[in-house]
Amino acid sequence: MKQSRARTFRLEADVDDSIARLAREDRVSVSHLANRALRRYVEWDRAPTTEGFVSVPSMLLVKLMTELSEERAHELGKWAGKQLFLPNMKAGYATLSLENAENNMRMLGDYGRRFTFEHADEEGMHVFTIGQKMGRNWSAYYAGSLESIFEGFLGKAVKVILSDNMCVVQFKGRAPP
Amino acid sequence: MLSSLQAGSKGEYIYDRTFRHQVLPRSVTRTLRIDDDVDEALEKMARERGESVNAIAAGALRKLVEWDRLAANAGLVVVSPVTLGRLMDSQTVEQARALGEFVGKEVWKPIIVSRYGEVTLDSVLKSIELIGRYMGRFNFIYSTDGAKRVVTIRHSGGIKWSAFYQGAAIPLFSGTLGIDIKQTMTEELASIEFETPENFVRGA
Repeated sequence: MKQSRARTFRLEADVDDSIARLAREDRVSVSHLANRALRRYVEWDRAPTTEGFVSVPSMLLVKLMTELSEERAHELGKWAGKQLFLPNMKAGYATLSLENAENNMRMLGDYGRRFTFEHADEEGMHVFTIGQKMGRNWSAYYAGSLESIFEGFLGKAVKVILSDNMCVVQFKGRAPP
Repeated sequence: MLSSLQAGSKGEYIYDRTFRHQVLPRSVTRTLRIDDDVDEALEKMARERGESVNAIAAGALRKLVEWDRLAANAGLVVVSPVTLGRLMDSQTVEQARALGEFVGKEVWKPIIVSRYGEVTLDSVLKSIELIGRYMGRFNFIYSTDGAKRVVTIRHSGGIKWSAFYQGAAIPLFSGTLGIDIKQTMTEELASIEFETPENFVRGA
């Protein structure tokens, strides 16, 4: 169980009232709700590797990606994996490792809200699954990203399965620590 | 004339004159139970930024109540600005404007109604400021001179993003409020000018 401590804050009354209302609606304690928001703020909103990221309507991303071919979406994903994800992971964790890649992807999924993410390790067969609802080209984009991420520091090819809502990447063997 | 200029967290913006005489907001103390690692991260951030832990936490909690819930309900997702820029590169200026119109109608307008209950000039202006502040894409400037009003969005995305913002303004100002607007744009600015009576709330 996580250790916690009590801290007293001075808040504007309207913010305090609104947090109390949201906590009632969610049937959680004010501390629980505030803690979650503060965690998001330090881990994501103001983290050095993600500060400057922007919020956009998912509908806009769907429309923008629809203009590209599947191959172009895949290429864009490869570029993003190599030029954005890997350098960001190194900046955030210092080391490129499977565990750090998994943490980074989980955070992108949880806080970025573009996809859900799962990792299974079945006797040395790693399976990374990204679920999303923005169409096949986005699956191709994530496939390209995962390929360049894992090929980037594993140094070997990975197997990719695509569908309209899902992208699955598999590779066998022990990844570098 | 630029009136009642107030510094915003991400740049400049101007609230309507009616905000000029507002009193300082009332504050309360609230004791919260915070995970140790979150508390330590707040302390570290405060030291690095030369701010108090309280100021950082208060900003984060204001964002929670003003934006996070709204963003999740409106289907907003987070993306790297570089990736977004590459995607927009594949559009023409006219396509970018059409995308803006789509987003103005299908996303911004529902956000305004959800946040303020109705689409009025005041709620549109407040919402554009809110969207700029939390979506991280632009700064909002609003100036008035008698009946003349100018809304300017300043950004660093280039001409296609200017066209996008102009497009997004159309369903709000022309469509819903019924205001005749004049638009101009540069690489970094999208401006709309219009005239309304001083006590204008919404169109017919």
